[in-house]
Amino acid sequence: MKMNVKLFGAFATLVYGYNAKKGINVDLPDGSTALDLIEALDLPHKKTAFVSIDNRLVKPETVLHESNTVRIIQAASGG
Amino acid sequence: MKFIRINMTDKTITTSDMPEAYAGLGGRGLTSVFINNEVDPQCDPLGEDNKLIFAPGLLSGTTLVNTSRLSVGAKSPLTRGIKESNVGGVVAKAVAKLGIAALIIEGQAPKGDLSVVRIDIEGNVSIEDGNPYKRMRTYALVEKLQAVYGKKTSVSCIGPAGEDELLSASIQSSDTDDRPCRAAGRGGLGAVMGSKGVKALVVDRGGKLGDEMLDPKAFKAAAKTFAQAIRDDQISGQMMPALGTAALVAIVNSMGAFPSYNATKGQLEGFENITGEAMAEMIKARGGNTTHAGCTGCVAMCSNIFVDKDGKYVTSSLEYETIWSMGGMTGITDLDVIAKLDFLCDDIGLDTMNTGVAVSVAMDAGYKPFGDGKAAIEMLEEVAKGSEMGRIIGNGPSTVGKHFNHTRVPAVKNQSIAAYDPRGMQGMGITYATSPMGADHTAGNLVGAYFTGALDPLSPKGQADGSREAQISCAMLDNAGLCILVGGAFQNPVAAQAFGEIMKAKFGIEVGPDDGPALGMAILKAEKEFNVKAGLTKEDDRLPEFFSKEPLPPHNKTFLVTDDELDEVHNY
Repeated sequence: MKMNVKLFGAFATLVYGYNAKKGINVDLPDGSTALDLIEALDLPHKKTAFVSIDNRLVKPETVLHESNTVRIIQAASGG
Repeated sequence: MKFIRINMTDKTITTSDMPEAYAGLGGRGLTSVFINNEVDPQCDPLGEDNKLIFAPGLLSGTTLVNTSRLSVGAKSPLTRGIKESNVGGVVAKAVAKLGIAALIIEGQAPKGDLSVVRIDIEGNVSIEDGNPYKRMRTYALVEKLQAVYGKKTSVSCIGPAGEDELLSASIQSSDTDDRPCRAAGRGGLGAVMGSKGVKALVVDRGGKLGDEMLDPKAFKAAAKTFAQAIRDDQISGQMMPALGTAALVAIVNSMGAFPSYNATKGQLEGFENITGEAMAEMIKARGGNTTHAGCTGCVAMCSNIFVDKDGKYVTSSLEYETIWSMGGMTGITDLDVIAKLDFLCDDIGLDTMNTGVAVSVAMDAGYKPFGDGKAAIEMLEEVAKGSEMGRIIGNGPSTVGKHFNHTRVPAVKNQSIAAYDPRGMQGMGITYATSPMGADHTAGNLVGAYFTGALDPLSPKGQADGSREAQISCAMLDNAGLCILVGGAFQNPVAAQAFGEIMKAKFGIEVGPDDGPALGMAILKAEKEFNVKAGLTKEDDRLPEFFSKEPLPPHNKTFLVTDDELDEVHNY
């Protein structure tokens, strides 16, 4: 399963070679979950990483599909 | 600590010790309980019977980091209820270090007569002629006032919008670089200051008249631990210094809850152009500063200095809520235009949120097209001129809606919502509806609860309880003078314990786990009580109807929380 993932927050700067416009291409086994994606990217501060699929935050166990729009965002609050 | 009352009717100044009744209160706790005790709830907010109170947080006079918050309180001419507007910069520390718990402006000067309230390093207060500064914008005003009174001063002031008593008028305060870019923006308190005839408050910095510390050694140790917890926290220690609050642009868009085009969509087309990530890259490339401490003693450093292509200063600090109101709501995706609009609001003395939403309502009504940056800049310049259209824009979204007979006005108690749509984050809708402050994200923010999975942002389930807890927590932080951006540090037990030790070392009191929430509830009760006496009813604790009628793309949800649930939020 090939998918393009966009990273936000500090992740965009912590993943070597990440290009904000292009995103990052990831190849995962079919049936992989949101947590598998975070693990595969070996993101630092994993506890603050949340996966958004098609504009909705999902639980770590949610299964990904190739057609999904996937973003990894970092928890924040304030204003 | 002292209470200083300045009567603008007869130009008298009275100083007394802080009354016992207000012991343990600072910041919002003090301003709200004071307003409830002393201000006639039925009074004209822009008349002589209203009172404007400035109060630093309980810990603002100490060396504890991130306690540079000042609360400004009054009856609001915008919401017609109680108001606390909260501001950073350097003013809270300046006031607290002079041993002042509250500075109260009472009465009313004759129309058109302006004064400057001056407090020197010895704590002497005087009322000086402010008429030479009439119609001055805030940046020029601060330069002029510091030329007269010295650079080592904090300045809190109004611009033309405050002098015109417009309902979105802010009180601008100087930051660590002496720029009036920190705003007590919400609730039109700049109009109250203008109605009193006060153009500026100029306070010497570096005073040494504050209360004694009971146990300085213990305080120092606990304060160090607390500061380290803020630095260790991923949000306040890493994300804020890197991206500031603008980090939320991508996050809230990704969640489909970024109110766009006057809250007709939950995502902005081209939001990638105005994210915190894009802004940081732009600022760095141009030689600006993305990691800036705008407030005294700040370690989160969420502020930034936005510069143009030539590296010239444009504004500071460009924040999430402003990027939203001037960008998402208006459909403008050019950060240079948004930064210019932010500067204009600070310079004219306007709340960026209420003003951006006023512009977006005008655009939605067909006055100008969405995305027209030039038109938005022109609308703000009209406010500065005091023209008819400028006054309509400067009085906020509800006034604009009435003018154009346009009902899609995202405001509660006439105050605009913030950058989280109630249909995409149901709990934020509850806070907007039920906060005594009108729609206000700083009164109870639930974004963190959506990340932890404690709440589903699109479901009404559990949101009322979440909003209640968040509103109580925010009232506690506002009492202490703590920045809400470091509130997350309290999740760390080490920080929570250190805070207890700080309170003991400073005041000699033991703070138990129930004491903080009890204080937060007491503050909210005083605020609700005032609003009821002012004539606000549960019908005022409702969102505009369109949030329940118009589904918000991309999730196509409406606001699903019932009126009964809203009425049960403040049930303690």
